[in-house]
Amino acid sequence: MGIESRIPPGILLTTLEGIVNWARKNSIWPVTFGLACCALEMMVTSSSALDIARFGAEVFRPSPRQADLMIVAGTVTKKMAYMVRRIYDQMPEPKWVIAYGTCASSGGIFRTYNVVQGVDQIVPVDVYVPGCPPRPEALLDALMKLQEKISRERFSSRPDYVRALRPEEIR
Amino acid sequence: MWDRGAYEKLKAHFPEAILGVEESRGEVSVRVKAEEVLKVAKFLREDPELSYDMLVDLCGVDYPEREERFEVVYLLHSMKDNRRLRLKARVREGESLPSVQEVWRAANWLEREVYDMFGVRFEGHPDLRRILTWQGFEGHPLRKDYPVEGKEEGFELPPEPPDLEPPEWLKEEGDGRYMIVNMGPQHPSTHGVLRVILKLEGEQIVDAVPVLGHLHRGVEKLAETMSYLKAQTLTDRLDYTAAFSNNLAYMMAVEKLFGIEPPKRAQYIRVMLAEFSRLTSHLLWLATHALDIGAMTVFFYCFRERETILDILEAISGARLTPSFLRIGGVAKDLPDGIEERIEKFLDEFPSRIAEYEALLSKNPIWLKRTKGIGVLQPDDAINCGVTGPVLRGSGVRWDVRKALPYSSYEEFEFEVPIGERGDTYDRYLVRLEEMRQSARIIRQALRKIKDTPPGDIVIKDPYLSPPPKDQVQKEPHALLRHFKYFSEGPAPLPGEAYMSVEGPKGELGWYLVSDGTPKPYRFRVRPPCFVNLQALPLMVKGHLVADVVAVIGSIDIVLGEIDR
Ligand code: SF4
Repeated sequence: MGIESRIPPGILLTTLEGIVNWARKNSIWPVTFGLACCALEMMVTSSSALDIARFGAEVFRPSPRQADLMIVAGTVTKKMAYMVRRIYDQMPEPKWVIAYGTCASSGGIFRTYNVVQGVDQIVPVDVYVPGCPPRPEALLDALMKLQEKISRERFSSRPDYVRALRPEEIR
Repeated sequence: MWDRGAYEKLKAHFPEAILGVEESRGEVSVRVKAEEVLKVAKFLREDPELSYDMLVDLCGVDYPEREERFEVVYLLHSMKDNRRLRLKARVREGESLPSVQEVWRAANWLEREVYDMFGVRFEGHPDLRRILTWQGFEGHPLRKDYPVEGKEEGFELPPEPPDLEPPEWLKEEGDGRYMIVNMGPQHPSTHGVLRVILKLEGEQIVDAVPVLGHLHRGVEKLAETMSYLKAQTLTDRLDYTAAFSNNLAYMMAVEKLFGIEPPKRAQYIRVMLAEFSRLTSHLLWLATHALDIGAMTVFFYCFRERETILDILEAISGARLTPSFLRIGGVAKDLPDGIEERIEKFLDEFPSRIAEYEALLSKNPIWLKRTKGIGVLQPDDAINCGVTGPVLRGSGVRWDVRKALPYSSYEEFEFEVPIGERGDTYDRYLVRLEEMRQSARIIRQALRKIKDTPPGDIVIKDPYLSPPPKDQVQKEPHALLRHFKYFSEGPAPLPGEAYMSVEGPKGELGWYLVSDGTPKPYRFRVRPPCFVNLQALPLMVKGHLVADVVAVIGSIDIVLGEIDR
């Protein structure tokens, strides 16, 4: 519409959704939460070799209340399942989950009496990463996939979406 | 080594209680009447000639077809004479044994585990609760009639967390003076999913009760469904910080069952890899331990070196963390070309890197305040609790499996075994730092020795125990069949049992395998160093402040994969 030419330089136009998603996807703070072997590879991503800070996700938070992302790195056992769900519940919206490694994705090699066959039985999962353990680069890849997903997100399809009431709904 | 004389002496003292003696693969087991176990145990410990002062392992085995269905196996060690002895006692379903917890404190958790896994009760045990599963769990998983996948279909979240309530005995005498605080299982400083219930008076710790099992994956049960070679993959995932050590301990136990020994070149390669494992494990320990106490830089430094090592290990084995690199009677592959130079280069740099860590920590006033005099463990307590590895050496006991019971040609290597003086967190730190230097030294020697052996001689030539070469498989039907049979079924050792252990980065890591003559292990028992070491935690933290728990847990260097199995 030619509106861009009338705006002084240095100002950018975008949708609210676009800018919020952009902010969200570049500051995904994971909760410090390692379960098993895969957690070691998760730690490597935050070391200098791979430097997860490049994606704005280096702020590992020990408290779920300050985190946006749960990286389930390791085997979820039946004894631990309740706590995993509890941590997820304690995280404020918006929040995402990466199932890192085959154990978290599907129980992995442990088809046994105390292993939950996939963390998706307990919490919704956004990205699955196969591997036992996956290479740390795979976690960065998952993070980028998640960023893509976030940038495509619509407010209205988010679980935390609060819609204004329509007039006829007000009594 | 194995004590052949003990039987005579025991028989003379307890003609009724001692039922017999067995020998398998050179290992001596004395059979004891179940009711008399405590008496015999006391004698074994107190008799000055026998002086079995350490209980290395205690586990159960289930033989459903026998009338006395359960066998409880005690592995003892005498520090003074470096001797070992195994005791065995059989009980029927519903019968119980006397607890030996008062003789060796190490038995406390081990007996709880046997109770949890087999349902065998121990009379006189002060705290006989489930340990790896939770109160209210149905059945005993290691019984042969318990299905590997468990009894229930699917999984539903329980309404409340398992083992929510602290044990009764901890709660008693509560007149508002004490407070019970729960730490973990999601806590950045418990190194995984350890949970510790703390009883506090103000900020001072009155008692600490670890709650385990949050990573209990049923490895010992699962291995019973796999062939000997395949079960190796499970060992990687126990102490995942040092997978080669686990591979080595397990494979040596398997080889003992088969009665073979790998060629020298393979042995040296194994030594080299095991020492690299120690380095990766100790580096990870230092990184996280320092991070817990608040030194962030060390974390980055240690991970830098750890990555270099992982790259080398990846070039050799093809995997960073979970290599499963050993084969029955050798290793999977020879060293790749050009790896020597990379290793040499690393070894040249490494001492200066350790000096860097030391410059950051050893005289740092905060570090000293947080570690000196914290978590002191007396040598007698350490031995009584079955503690091994750097924790034991930190308390001033010069004992190392590599020296005491050499394996994989360790007797040909020159290295020192460092010890501490006071047994505090700082000493354990120094011990591990020195161990890293010694490991680098061993790797250098191993490299030289590998050069002196013929290339390619990496696995025993035995048509039954190793698969046919790949090029044959593609041409000859016999070889193809043999290959198929080898990998689908696997070789079977003669019935019997074997125990082999290594000095893992965390302590004595051993495997007790029982074979019934089939290609799958009948019992696959891991002697977990961290599990036993962690038992000393309450002793070490009593009287300290809450923040010190973090330092002490760090200095025990635990890994939950192996504690919970
Ligand atoms: S996927 Fe493999 S490496 Fe990861 S936690 Fe499971 S067993 Fe360990």
